[in-house]
Amino acid sequence: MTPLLDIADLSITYATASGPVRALKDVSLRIEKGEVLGLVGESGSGKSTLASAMMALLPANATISGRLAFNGADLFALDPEARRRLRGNGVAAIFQDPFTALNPATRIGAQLVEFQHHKTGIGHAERTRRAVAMLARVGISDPERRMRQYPFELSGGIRQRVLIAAALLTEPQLLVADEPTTALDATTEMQIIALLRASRALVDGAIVLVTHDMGLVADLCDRVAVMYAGELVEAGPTAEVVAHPRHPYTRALLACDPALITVQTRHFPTIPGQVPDPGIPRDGCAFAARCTEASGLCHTTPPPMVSIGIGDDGGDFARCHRLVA
Amino acid sequence: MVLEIEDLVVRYRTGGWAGALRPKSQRHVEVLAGVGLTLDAGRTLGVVGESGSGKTTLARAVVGLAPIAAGVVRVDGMRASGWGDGPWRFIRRKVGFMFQDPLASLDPRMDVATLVTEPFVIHRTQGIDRRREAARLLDLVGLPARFLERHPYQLSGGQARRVSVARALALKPKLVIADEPTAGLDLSIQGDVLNLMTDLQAELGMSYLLITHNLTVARHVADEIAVMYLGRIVETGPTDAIYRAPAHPYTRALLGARGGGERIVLEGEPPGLSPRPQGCEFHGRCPIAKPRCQSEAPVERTVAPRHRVLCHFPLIQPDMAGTA
Amino acid sequence: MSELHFDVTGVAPTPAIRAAPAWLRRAAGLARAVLAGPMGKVGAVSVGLMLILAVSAGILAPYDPIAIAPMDRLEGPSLSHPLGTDQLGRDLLSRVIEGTRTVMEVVVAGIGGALAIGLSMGLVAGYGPRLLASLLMLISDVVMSLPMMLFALAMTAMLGGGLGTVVLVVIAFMVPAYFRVARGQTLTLKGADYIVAARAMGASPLRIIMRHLLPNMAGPLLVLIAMDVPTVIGIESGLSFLGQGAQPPTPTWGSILRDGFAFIRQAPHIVLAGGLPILIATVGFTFFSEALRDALDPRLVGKKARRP
Repeated sequence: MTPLLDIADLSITYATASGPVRALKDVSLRIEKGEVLGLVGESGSGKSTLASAMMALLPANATISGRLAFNGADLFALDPEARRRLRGNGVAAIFQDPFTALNPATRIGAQLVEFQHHKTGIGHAERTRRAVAMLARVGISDPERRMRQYPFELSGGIRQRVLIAAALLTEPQLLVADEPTTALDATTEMQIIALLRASRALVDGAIVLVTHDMGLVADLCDRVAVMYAGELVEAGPTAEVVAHPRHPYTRALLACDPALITVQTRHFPTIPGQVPDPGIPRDGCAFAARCTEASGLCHTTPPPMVSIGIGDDGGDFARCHRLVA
Repeated sequence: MVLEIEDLVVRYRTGGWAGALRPKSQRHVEVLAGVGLTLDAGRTLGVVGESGSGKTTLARAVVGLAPIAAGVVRVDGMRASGWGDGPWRFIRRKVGFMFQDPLASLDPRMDVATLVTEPFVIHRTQGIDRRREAARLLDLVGLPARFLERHPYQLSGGQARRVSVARALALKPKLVIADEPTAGLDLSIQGDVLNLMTDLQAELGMSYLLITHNLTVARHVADEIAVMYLGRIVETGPTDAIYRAPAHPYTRALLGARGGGERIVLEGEPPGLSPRPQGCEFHGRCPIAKPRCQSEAPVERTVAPRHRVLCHFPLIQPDMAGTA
Repeated sequence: MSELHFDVTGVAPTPAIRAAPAWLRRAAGLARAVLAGPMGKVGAVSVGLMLILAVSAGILAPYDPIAIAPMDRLEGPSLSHPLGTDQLGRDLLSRVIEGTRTVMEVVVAGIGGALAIGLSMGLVAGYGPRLLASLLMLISDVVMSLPMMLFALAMTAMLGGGLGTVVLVVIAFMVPAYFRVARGQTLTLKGADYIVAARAMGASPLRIIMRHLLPNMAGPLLVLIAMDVPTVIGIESGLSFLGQGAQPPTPTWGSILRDGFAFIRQAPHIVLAGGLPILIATVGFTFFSEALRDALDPRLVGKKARRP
């Protein structure tokens, strides 16, 4: 079965005023239809770049090598017009900041109708009806009245729901949610998480959840992919990765999460050092400088993808020399 | 007692000149509606709440930076209230403040040495070798001396945070207010700031008023917790007790998100502040609200030693404290 | 302990540079940025020229600017009089050079006065009671709405002509702009975290204004000053041309223009001698102020650029 998204050795470098900056290095990942994948990483991990690549929304100064196939078709081999047609019609996105994602000068209803413009063959009335129905589906009360409101009249939680509704209206095959709850309060976040969970039934495809919050991933995602400094260091079923992390970075990261620390402590583990400068080319493993288990080999040779997990076709792996038997 | 707050009310005026024409109840927004708390020496109080809860306003009110309409703030015996810089100048000398965005809280035109020793200049401390004090303060927070000449734009987020800690400690305060010290920090370096704060507390013995929305951090770092909702403290007590058995339904909902516990998803959004809701302000979203909650405002009651809650039907009763 | 992520300062400064006080280093950096582009170079050269002439007018002028020599009247440009002579035989080059100084004096007095008053008003409006602030805004708006030349002529009618009146006109006319910028900056910066932090530390309002507010307002004010110089030159020249500014025999570019206007048929070089410096100064200062503004803006953005 063709995976929905097949990424092979994807590398993206940005040309900047101070030299080339490598945002992604040899990323390989497979996402199947019906899956919810969590893309986890801290700042500088490249997760947002990867998410943008999935949407074919990379800036002009990006040099791309490798392959990103959506439903079998290489995204970067398509012409720009074909790529544009994909967005909002196959691939949909929810972004972090609900306050700026909507046009402040237009009513919600008009925008929701507009988002369906790819769906030829249904008229304005039908689109409006679908919009109202979707607003109700995402838990917004009194949807007809909301349709006539402007974004500034809505709170952050409601706005994010509207954006989720907008994304679902396009009936996407791939829904990319980039930090959808980071800007929201804890109680609102819980509501949105419940909504996203319920939305699985509405997305006939896959959902990619980009976040720095492992707890969120544990809540919502079947599989998780961990990123560090532009590389994909570990991927596998969520429960497995959280319970038995194979990569030293994943282990260290999980150890730092206060939510996962069961014994009350005043002293928190940290990962000393900092993320390597993406502008400086490096040999070897990206994490080697901060890894407690690094050996000489780790500093000189890039680690291989070591397959872990149950007989999958290479979908579960970790990039670490230490795992090579 | 290092900090004592009594019935603190903070109101902001709304509207321009036309505002004066509106009925009295709509002329102001009451951001803090009567807050009281105490903090002993060497302890950490975590104030948790979401946006609109008033926790940041509370932090600023402790140093007189919010329009206080009523109530008293006492810091290390010094008392102050209302507007006017006078009484607050003494309190500001005894309190160190760490802002949520450390980089923004540093004057971009000053270098680190000037920044961390500014408290000395403001309070005209005599006989201070500025350079030496600056180096000492940086050393305290683990920054090498070469950072003395750097300017804020040359600092990373973590470094700026350390500088703001150093500055807060300049006058050896008894109380340090930390407003969201871990905001915006990656998980792998969050511990740096928290560990630093803990170490400094062990070494210097100051108290922390920790303002945060991050419950998982508060659980580990705070001795006591105060939960705020819509400008009031709805529950306060020892951290252990609150996490094991919260008394207020709002606290229970907040805790359900992470770190185990039953998951309760609250309906709706926090209500507006003008006008304030009638009765118990949480009744609109409360999963166990009864008719009484809509008509009558709850009175604070003690459910266990040092554990108080503002609710008609707290989830734990005083006689249940042992079995909670 | 954690290291600096990216060394945004580039090469480590040499000891000599490091020893210089911070403001000097910043000024040097700014100068470099301004001189980077062609507009900045042209502007800097013109401004520099004007300033040199203004400061050393007494030394540079080959003749006494007000010395009359009726035998040499209305002579065209020659070796002995590079710009020619006017209707009273006075050397035009000397008059232009002396005029540069006079104009610059008006500029400094006018803008200086407007800055002092506008800045104070702006700080009061930013910090003071709402009623006072609204009143000041009202006054400022009224003054701004007056047509400049009519206002100037009315002033000179009331107070008599002369450069003193010109300076007063300039001040009155320019105060609203400085007031608005100062007020806007005060309001913006007032809520900035570092200002709140200073208050939280116990700083008095005076200290906050002097140590935190003013230094951070300097940038936009500097640009405004540079942009206003051509305006002041215009006001002075205009009034002098109309006979209400500089009184004879004081030379300014405007009064030279005025003199030349009567003799434009016989001796067109006089008008040129008066008009050219106005042109050069206006264009030069405009270019300079644009380059300055550009230099101040992206510098802040570039330095604040951090890891994504």
